[in-house]
Amino acid sequence: MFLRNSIVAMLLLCLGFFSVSAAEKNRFLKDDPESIKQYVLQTQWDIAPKANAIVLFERAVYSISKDAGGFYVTRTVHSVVKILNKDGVDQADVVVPVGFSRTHAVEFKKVKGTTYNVEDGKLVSQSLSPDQIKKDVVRNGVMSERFSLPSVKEGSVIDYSYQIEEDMSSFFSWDFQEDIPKVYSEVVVMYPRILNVGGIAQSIYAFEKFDDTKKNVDDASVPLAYSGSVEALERDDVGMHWVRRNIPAYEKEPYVYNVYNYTEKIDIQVSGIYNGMGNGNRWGTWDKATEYLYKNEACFQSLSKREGFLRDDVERLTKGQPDDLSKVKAIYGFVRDSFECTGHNGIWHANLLDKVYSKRSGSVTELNVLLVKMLRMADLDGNAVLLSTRKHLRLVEEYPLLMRLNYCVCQVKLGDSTYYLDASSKNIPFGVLPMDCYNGYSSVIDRDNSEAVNLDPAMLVEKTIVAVHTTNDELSNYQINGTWSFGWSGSIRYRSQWKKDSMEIKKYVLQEVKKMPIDASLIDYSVKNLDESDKPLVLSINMKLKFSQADHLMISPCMVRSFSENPFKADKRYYPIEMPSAAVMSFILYLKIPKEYKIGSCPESVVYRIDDRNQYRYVIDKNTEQNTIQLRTDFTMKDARFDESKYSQLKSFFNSMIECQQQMLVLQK
Amino acid sequence: MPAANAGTSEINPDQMNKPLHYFFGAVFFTMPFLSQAKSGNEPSYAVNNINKALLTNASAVVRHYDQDVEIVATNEVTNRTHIVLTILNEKGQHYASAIDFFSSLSKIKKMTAAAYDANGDLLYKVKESDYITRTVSPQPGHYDDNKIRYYDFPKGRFPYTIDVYIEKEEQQTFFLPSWTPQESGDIAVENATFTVVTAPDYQLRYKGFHVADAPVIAGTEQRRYSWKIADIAASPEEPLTPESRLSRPCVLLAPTKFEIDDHSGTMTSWSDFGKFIYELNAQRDILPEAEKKKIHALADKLPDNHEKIRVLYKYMQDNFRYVAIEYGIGGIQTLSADFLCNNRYGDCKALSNYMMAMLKEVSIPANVVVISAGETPRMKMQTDFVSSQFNHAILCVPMAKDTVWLECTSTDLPYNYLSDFTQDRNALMVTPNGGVVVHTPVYGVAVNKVVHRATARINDDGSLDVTMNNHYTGTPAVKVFHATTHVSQHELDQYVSNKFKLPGYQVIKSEYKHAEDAAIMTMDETMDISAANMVSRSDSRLFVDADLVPVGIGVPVATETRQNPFFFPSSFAVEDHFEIDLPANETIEFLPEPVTASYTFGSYSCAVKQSGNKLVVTRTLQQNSGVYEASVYADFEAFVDKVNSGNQIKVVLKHQ
Repeated sequence: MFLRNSIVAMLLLCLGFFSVSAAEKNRFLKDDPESIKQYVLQTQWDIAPKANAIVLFERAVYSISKDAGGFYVTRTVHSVVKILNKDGVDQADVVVPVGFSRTHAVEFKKVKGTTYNVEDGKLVSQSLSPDQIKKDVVRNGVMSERFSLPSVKEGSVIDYSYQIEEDMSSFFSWDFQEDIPKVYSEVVVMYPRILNVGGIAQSIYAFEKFDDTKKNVDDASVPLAYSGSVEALERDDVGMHWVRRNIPAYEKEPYVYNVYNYTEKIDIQVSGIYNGMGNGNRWGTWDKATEYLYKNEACFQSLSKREGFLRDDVERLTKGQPDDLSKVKAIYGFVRDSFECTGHNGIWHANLLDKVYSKRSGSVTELNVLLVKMLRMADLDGNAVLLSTRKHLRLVEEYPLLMRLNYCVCQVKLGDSTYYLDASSKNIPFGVLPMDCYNGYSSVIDRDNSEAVNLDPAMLVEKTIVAVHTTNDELSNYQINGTWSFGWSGSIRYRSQWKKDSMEIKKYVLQEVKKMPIDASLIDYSVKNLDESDKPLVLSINMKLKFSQADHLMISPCMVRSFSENPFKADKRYYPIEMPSAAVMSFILYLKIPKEYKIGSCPESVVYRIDDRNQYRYVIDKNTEQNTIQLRTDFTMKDARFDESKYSQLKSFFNSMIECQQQMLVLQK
Repeated sequence: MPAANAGTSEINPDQMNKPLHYFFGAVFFTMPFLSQAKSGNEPSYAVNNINKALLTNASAVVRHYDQDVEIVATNEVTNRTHIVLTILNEKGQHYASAIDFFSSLSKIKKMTAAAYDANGDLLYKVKESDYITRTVSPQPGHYDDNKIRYYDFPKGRFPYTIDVYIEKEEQQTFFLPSWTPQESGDIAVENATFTVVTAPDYQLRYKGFHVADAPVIAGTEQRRYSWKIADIAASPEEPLTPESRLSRPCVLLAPTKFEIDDHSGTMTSWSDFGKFIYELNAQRDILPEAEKKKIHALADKLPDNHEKIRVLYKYMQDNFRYVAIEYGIGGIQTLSADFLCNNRYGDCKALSNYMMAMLKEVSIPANVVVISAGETPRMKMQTDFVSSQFNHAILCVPMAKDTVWLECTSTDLPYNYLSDFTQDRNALMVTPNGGVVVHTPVYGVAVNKVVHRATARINDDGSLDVTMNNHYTGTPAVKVFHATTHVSQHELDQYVSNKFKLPGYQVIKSEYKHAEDAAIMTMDETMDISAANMVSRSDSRLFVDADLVPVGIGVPVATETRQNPFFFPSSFAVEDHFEIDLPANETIEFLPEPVTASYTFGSYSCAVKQSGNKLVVTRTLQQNSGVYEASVYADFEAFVDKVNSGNQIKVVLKHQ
């Protein structure tokens, strides 16, 4: 499925318009008991053969207005949902989300709900009563509203609507595609002309311009995706609406960090006010957005201030360093090791650096901006980079959707090399960010420079090597050594566990010994580089193997496997496959066969390829004179993201690799 | 779920008891060291002062946990708690909160908190505006007036110490506070005290766990009970440890006379307790006339009471759903049948009450049973300590020759079948004559069972064509039901593709059938698969992995002698029968030896033989529920090893 991002260009062009009131009339056949009854009796919808419920109609109108308190938004939502089976009844328990409202009290209005059933052949309706609507305090003073519709069961149709007034948020979004399918979904955005509004529409169809005032939405000529301008006849506002029809539910799949990166939705942002004060385009482009943040957010403002209190530390850390790279490492080490991270990772409302410095603690943004500042004071080319982490929605080049920003790291350029640093994370090697930061498009934040940066997860290469060799080949006391050299991610994970509790090392060792294909027992083990974040963690295990006395022995020479099963088993794939990183995993075996046995049959060498960047090599060599077996397997995956069209190739590649790993070596007496 | 702190009730015009507030006069209670959180440096909080032995296995250490409870009247209880907790490392960070709950029948009168560094120097005091107050559970379909007030301390430089003081007032004595200074196994405790003060003639009941008996100081103006513990070590994190606060030092309190929201009663016996619950919920079973007609239309024509109950239970499952509405006393008092009839939703006690009302209409008496539901033994009812311990309600219908049990919140479970949520435990049946302790059905290995029957043929290319007919009953069937019912085709496809731990397989066909009329939850699974990597070929031999449906068990390896007991929440059995067609021109050269193992906690057997031109594998695996001593864990590890080695069903065939 090809999802396209189109910019929601809220221009003042009217390419055919409809009025709000006309729109409402044509939308859903209200006050039409016969049609409603048909919907109650209907049990199947073609677009949703196995759904638990289906949205027959939904419409949200975001209308921005202004009063003495400032801008506020009136959000009106109307939904009609058909319950298809018992597992769909929880659609009737509604929670109305509310944003944080400071200048305007949150008001819920016009909450209405009706359940329709058919009893003894007759349409029966039951309304939601006001005492069934519950207001909650969500956090200090901020309310939400919830209600549960009555008499809902398999077959029911529920119809509810509500209106909320609250402070205008600069960001709002509408999901066309959710966990149940939808026949019709529409969003309307109305706003005063002085506002600069833009955003991104994510959909598999382009939104055609279409005027639907004369058509029934069931009419086959009505496109599956269309949009048009909106004019409010009562006041001088403009707006647009988007309609999507026949949308399937999204699918749940593994190796997807956030499914909403692939679902159909609209994200809207108020990016400026044309009020003659130069605020017309605060956030309409990446350049403008980063410039605004740089000048207006306290923490980023520190980058352009003189921060005398850092002078002594910078001088002390850089004095006597042989080169710029050493200076960077010294300053980075200082911030990473001397400051605690509070765990907060948002980019907004971060403190000025003097506060961070005096408390010796700060959020992710604060610590990394401090790092950038100190690098700049050492005349190094440091910049703050804003990004969204992987479980968050991805940033897009087409439009700066600021609600998606949730993390800040440091970039430093030394000649031709660029390094990315995160001083808030302990235990990670220099030049590596936490895995979640590699989420594609990111932006440098600077006064004059919003350089786009692509933090591709393929930049991370998890390189793991396991080597096993015979240390004593006497059958009665056969011993091997296995040495694990972990990649950066494994090193980070195990280092933090093992430093906290040394018993965890032994647990890990015993698990590995248990996994050996021959009856193995532990002799001893040792760990290297436990305290050196910049080096791979290395674990060495000495084991004794017990061979059975059979005439024929079957051993898999691939004693330590990266993949014990295929991670891709389903037949179909809907979304791209997102791997944590690139990977190179090698296994090296040198096995001296006990003299009581000789090598019978031996597996064949083989190479499997998806392409030159992604392949598996299995190279085995038997030496009958010396009675040894040498095996080297190399799994190389240089890409961290695969389009869904490559799925069957990936699946087949892993199947082949796992089958190959199963190959048996036969020893006979 | 009953609210822990019930607030104002729905209007109950037929109040059984006029409230009598038992005031105990002015009870002067002074606890000079139990005041609000400290406000200056506290050198005694320095981490160096902690006994080194308490740091082992600990993520946090309670330096002080001082709680005092004053039962002023049957409708007034003051609870003051002062906690000083050192957070040692990242694993302890989630304990770093000042937090308490309240509702319409309770108030948090004071909450203060501060943070200190490793030396005991004050880092900061929490500002009033930093506390968050909100609804506890603003989730869909759940409505109550329970609120939470809290402050989450941000991560600091470890170790650091938090100092929290909370003062709360309850306007009821149905639920009395308890004392749990060691909230979790990875928290060590330096010092903790608990003091309860009542009027001289108030009869407090209490039950202590892992604490010395309370000395009681009886005076003319007050009676005081005190408990104290010191130097309680944290316990290591070990797999399968039963999680229960009762396995750590704690004291439970219960009243004799009590009051809650203008209702009063006594709970000196389960009979009394049950009587109170019965009377609180009585007269709420009046059905509208139209509904009565419907019920008679469904049931009257059926000759047998079992059939009547079954048809009415199905009526409830098809037409009602779970929505919890528990304002005020709504945690223990049901909504009326009238309300449910109108809205067709309710919580566990309202649905059970409604079911009871429907059965009453057709002259079948039934009783609501209040129960502690969830994974045992955490939720085990303390039958020797009468108090409110329940979080769920089901229905019990005593019949002439047997008893029918109904889970009224489930739209899927069979008639007269309880899931593992409520199986095999003591509970309290609420009758017009009072409460009676009962035990819910035990479904052992005969019910919780999986039978795998698979046949296979070896193809020339080494793949296996396998046909499975698997039969699930009881808890295993419930799991399969939820994984395969009302899910999208893609979800189902992912389920069947990932289900079996075979080296590689492709599903050709799969089908699931739910036996709707079966007495216990039953699912049948039919599957045709093509399995790869099960057969390896050499010049002279064929190596066959004959484990067509792997049922391995795993457990993390223990590194030291185990300290905690271990438990299995339920019993189940697996029975396997596999047949593999032997290819022509192949004879069996090697068959693995039979393996058996039998212990109190489980048993296993696996045997492979030739029968005609087939390889036949028969295997059984059984787990027995229960709590087992730590000393038995080594046997369990040996059992796991035996099972895993027995499951290496590798057969060698020789070419003829």
